[in-house]
Amino acid sequence: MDRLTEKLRLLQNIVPDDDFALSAKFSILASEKPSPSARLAFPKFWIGSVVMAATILVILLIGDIKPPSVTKSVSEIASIDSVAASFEADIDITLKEIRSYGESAEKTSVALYEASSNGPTHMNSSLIKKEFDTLNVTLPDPDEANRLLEQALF
Amino acid sequence: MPLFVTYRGLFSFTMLEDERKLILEAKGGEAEAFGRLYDFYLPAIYRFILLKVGQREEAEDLAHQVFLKAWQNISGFSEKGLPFSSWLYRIARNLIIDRYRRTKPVISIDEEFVSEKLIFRPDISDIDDRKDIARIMASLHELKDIERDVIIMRFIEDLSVKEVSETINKSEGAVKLIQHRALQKIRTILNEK
Repeated sequence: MDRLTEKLRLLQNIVPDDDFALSAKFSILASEKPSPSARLAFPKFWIGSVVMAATILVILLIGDIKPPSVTKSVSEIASIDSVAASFEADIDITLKEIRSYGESAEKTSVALYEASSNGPTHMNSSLIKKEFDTLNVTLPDPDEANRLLEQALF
Repeated sequence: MPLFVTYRGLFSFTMLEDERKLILEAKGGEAEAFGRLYDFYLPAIYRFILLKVGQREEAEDLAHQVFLKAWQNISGFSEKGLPFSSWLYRIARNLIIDRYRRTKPVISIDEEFVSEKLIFRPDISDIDDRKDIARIMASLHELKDIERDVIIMRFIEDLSVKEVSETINKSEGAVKLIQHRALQKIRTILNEK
């Protein structure tokens, strides 16, 4: 050890004032100290959670692993497609029926409205005659009818 | 008087015998444990600050703040990282940098300052010693901040090169180089005076 370092070591003899040392100590120890549990637990918890989440994300992104809920074979996916197509067809048929019922209901209501407001005037005489011919009604003999009525009454 | 041991080997450092236990207890909020750490480290931290700022009142105020900050943040201190002493020196350095960010401390060190302002252990009563102390303190203030830090920690506080390197965030090789240059500068300054 040379002379310079010996002289430097003389400075080791400088000490703080006892009164200052004591009053500062009491002041420091009387100050509020942050809760050790909160300071220690939270960083560890958060660091652990973040690391775990990041690991899972990396595995999902670069790995071939997918969550179990989305893992389906090709045949399963095909069967799901056929079922979906069948449902779709059923829905189409139902919609067509509804549309048809709607149209016929509308026509019926229009016809009823016309019949109730105009009466049978819309039916022309040729049409009535044609329908009468189709029916091929043979009217009974009136004399015979009268005779039968008299027998029934008297 | 707290018990302490000095290890001299590959790494030379001084620490409290049961320092690890005291730190754990202080982390758990035990004021008495931190009080023992305070008693042991206050003189060194106070000296370090005083030799940097050259004013007793400022040194007392900053030393108080160092230990207040250490007490309030001891839960965040990791034993696997810095030694406790290095952690305290680092807090002290940062507080001094913050305090004198805009204006440098006005330092006037002479025999009068040493005799009237400073307090020494009882075995220092020699007038010549006080003269030497005044000259050495004055020479320290002609060094760069980093050089002064290294000289104080290595030769006044007996920290190992490794501890100093961890405290000032430089390699051990850099610490040795800074130390060598700083000692040469001090020799030159003292020879000139």
